[in-house]
Amino acid sequence: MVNQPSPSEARAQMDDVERARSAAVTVARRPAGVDLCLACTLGLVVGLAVLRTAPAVLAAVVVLIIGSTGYWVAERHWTRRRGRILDERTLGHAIRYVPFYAALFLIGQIPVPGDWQPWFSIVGGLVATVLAFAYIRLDERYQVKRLAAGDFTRHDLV
Amino acid sequence: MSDWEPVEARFDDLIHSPNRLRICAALEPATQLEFTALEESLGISTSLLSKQLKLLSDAGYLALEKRPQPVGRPRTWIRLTPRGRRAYLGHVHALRNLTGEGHEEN
Repeated sequence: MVNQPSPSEARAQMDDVERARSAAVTVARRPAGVDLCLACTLGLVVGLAVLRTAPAVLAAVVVLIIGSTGYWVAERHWTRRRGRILDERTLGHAIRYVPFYAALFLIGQIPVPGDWQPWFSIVGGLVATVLAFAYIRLDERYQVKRLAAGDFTRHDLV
Repeated sequence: MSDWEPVEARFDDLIHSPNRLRICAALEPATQLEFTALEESLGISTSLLSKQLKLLSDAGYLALEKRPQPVGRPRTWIRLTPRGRRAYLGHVHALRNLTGEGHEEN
């Protein structure tokens, strides 16, 4: 039978629990390089797509499929090292990134004079890369912050 | 009863040890953790970690799985079993009751 700890000992043990959980989440954090690879893939897809020629759009689709598959494999590998929180607050948090999606959409809608290419495509791809990377890292940071703080219920962890 | 159902506050003899409590805490937000990641996060020696993992595993609290790698030695992956998660959450619930935080959901 366990000797029940005093309240101060229990507080110290709870502090240990929080430190251990936080350290594990930090160690298991997804490397920024993986996120950068996905962001570059998305930037390349956008850059190719805004060229608006059939071969470029086909190439964009191929790059998107290959890149998404590679990211799925990497994501699967790293998220097995820690869970992800999926609850109403997470979904509410994701709405903050609507401007990112809107910016990507607008890039694709701008009518581009022929002599602006390929510079428009290059700049559009770079903007998409930066926005995508910012979105992915902010989302990862949100997840890490809540997991490290134990700010989730057992129902929210997937 | 699944590990997702509410747990009762209950001190657990096995989890009460500081290192084992920290191991369970590190595994709580994880679906699985690789041995070296756990070792790195807890900052304890390989031999001590192995010994504690074996105790928890023998009690059915942890599942250990060795997986071969394309290159190098096989890696060990560790996860809390439903039984282990219930025991850990019950223990933490009991600690929270002592510290006056017992009304929070686990």
